[in-house]
Amino acid sequence: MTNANNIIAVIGPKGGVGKTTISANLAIALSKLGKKVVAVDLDLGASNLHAIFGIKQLKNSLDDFVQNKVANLSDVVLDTEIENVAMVCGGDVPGITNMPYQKKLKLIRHLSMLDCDVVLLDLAPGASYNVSDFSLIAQNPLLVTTPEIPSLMNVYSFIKAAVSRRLLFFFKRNKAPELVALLEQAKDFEKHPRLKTMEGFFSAAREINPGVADSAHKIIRGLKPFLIVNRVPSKNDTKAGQIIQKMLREFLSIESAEVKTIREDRAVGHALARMKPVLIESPNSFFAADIEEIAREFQG
Amino acid sequence: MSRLVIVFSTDPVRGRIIQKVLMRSRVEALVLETIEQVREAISRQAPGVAIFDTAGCFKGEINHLGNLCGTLAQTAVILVGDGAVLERFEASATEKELRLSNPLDPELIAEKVGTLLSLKVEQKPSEDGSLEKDLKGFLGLR
Repeated sequence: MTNANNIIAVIGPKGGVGKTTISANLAIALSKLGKKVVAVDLDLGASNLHAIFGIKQLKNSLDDFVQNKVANLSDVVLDTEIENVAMVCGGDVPGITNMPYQKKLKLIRHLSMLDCDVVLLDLAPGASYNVSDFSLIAQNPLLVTTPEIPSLMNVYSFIKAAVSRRLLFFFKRNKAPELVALLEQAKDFEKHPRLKTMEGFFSAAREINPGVADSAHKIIRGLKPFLIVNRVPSKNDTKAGQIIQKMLREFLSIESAEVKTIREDRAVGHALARMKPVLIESPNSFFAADIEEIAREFQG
Repeated sequence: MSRLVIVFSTDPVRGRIIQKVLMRSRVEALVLETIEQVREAISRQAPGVAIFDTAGCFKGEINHLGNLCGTLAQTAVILVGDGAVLERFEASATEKELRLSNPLDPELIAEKVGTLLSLKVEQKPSEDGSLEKDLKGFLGLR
């Protein structure tokens, strides 16, 4: 049964990095480890996770839940051809990308009530509030990037924005408006160079409100983002991951980011062309081996 | 870098497919079907690129190929075949090794060979520091 520790959000701050392919195949890899998985397509307005599972006709989708045609999210869960993998197909009804906050809260509540071991969320690209909010409910957010600079920039910016949003909620909850103001100043670090790094920020915050600043610092130090660098030329090519790790340490005080790589593999394109998951079409491929290694990290 | 390209495949059809596609890219390659032929070719001249197709290889041949990879310091090695088999090779000591899992994609092999042969010493990938420097530059974090 679902509990508070089994929501995995697959986040690709830049589009086209392989997030949906990874989501589908990770769901299968987890099912092979004995987990009952529900993959939920939350790439609202541009959903296609079902296509990777080879589902052409959608009997139900998230639209039905959002439009109150069904009472529960579990009513739109569809079985796939893979044992122990079910899915919720994404919604494409106009306006779903900007669903009202109350509706989003209802969806979040229902996600945590799904009857399974792992809920795997395939999120939209970018850093919209939807993506941020859905990623914040996940106990295991996975950030997918490729080794190229534009994608690395987006992944760094996404983590920075998530840190900032988490601090904002924390400061508001602890009634520290002066730290909220400081956080606002940190957005313009050219004007406030001291606030360029998290260490600098917390040093300034401590001068204002040491108790709340220290607690917040502890939270940030405890963050453990999990990064997947997709399409690396060889398994040992960890350069991009190491650089992101170093920058997270240096500028955001995040000490323990974990990085895994997935090798570039033509088997992926081959499987996509046949509308089959790679783990089914080419179970002995590099991609499959790397995904299975990642799945083992989350088998609990 | 030597312009010699060798293709080892115990499957003559796969070997010739790779050779033919390479020829279309104006790369001449020597197709070899046994480990002994590979050893002999290497002893005459170290190839610029060695393509080792592991499909249909016996365990002993895989081991020999693994040992050969360790001796080819000046050669770019492209390993082709089933992903699980390729995993058995030791991690590469150089950045000159490339692994391409099935299905066989001769066009991709030809593309990689073309890139490897056209690489000059001064065109080596940038040193470690530059990606970090560029990334920090774009993010305004210098």
